[in-house]
Amino acid sequence: MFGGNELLWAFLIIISIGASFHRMGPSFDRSRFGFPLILLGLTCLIFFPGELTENGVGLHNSILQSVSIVLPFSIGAIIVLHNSPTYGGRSIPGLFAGWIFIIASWAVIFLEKDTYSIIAITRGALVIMGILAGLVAVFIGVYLAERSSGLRDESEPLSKEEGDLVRAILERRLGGRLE
Amino acid sequence: MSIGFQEAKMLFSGGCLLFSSLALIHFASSYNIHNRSLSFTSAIAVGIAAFYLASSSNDLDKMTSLELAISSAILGLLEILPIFLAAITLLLFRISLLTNRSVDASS
Repeated sequence: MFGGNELLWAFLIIISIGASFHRMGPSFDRSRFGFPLILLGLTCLIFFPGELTENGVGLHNSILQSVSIVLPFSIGAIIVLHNSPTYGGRSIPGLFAGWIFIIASWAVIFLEKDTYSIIAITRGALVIMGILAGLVAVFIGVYLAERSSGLRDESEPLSKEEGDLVRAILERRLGGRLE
Repeated sequence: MSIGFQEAKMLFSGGCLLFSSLALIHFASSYNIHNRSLSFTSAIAVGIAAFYLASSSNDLDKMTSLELAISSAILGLLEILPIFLAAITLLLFRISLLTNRSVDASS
C-alpha cells in the first residue's frame, strides 16, 4: 500500500530527479524545474514522511539530522566562496558571515554526535567501495557505448545552397572573393 | 562488536544499488536523442548483480532486502558525513584565508 516507506522513497527519487534536471544546465528547458523539484522533495520528506516502519523511522531521523548539518554548511560554503579572493572580491564581513554558518554546522555535529567508532567508518568505507564498483562498471559501459558508435553518424556533405551560404558568410567576414 | 561477512556484503551491494539507481534516475531524467542504450544497460547490469548480492545476504524477501540494503547504504554514508565536511572545511579555509590568487584566464 502506498503511504508507508514508499512515500519516503518517492520523495528521495523526486530529489534525485530534481538534482539531475538541475545538473543539465541552462541549455535544456527542463533544467529550470530542477531546483523547485529539489525543494518540493525536501519539504515533503521533512514534513510529510507518511507512516514509516521501524527501518524507515531510523532512515528518516538520520536524514533530518543530516539536513540540520548540511543546510547551514552549504549556505556558509556558498557565502565563503562568493566572498573569497579566489572566486570573487575579498569581503571580510561576507567571509565572517559564511564561517559563522560553517561553525554552526560543526557545533550541531559535536552536539548531536558524541562518539565516532571504527565500525561506523568501516561501514561507510564498504558503501563507498560499492559505489566505486558501480561507477567503474558504468564508466566501462559508457566507454564501450561511445567507442561502438564509430563513424556511423558522420555528417552528410554540404548541399549546394548550404555551400553558397558558407561561401557568402566567409566572403562577407574575410573580404575579397573566394575562388 | 564487528562487521560480519553478510553485513559487509549487504553494505557493499547497498552502495552498488544506490549508485545504480541514482545513475538510472540521472540517465532517465537527462535523456536526449544522443544517449546510447549501452550506458543504461551497464547501470541496469550493476543493479541486477547488486540486487542478487543483497538478497543473498539475508533471509528476508526480495523487496525488503532491497530496501534494507539501500537504506543501510544511505545510513552508512550519513555516518561518515563529518569526514567529508572536514575535508571541505579545510578546502574552504585554504580558499578563503590562505589564497590570494584569483581565477582568471591565465590560471
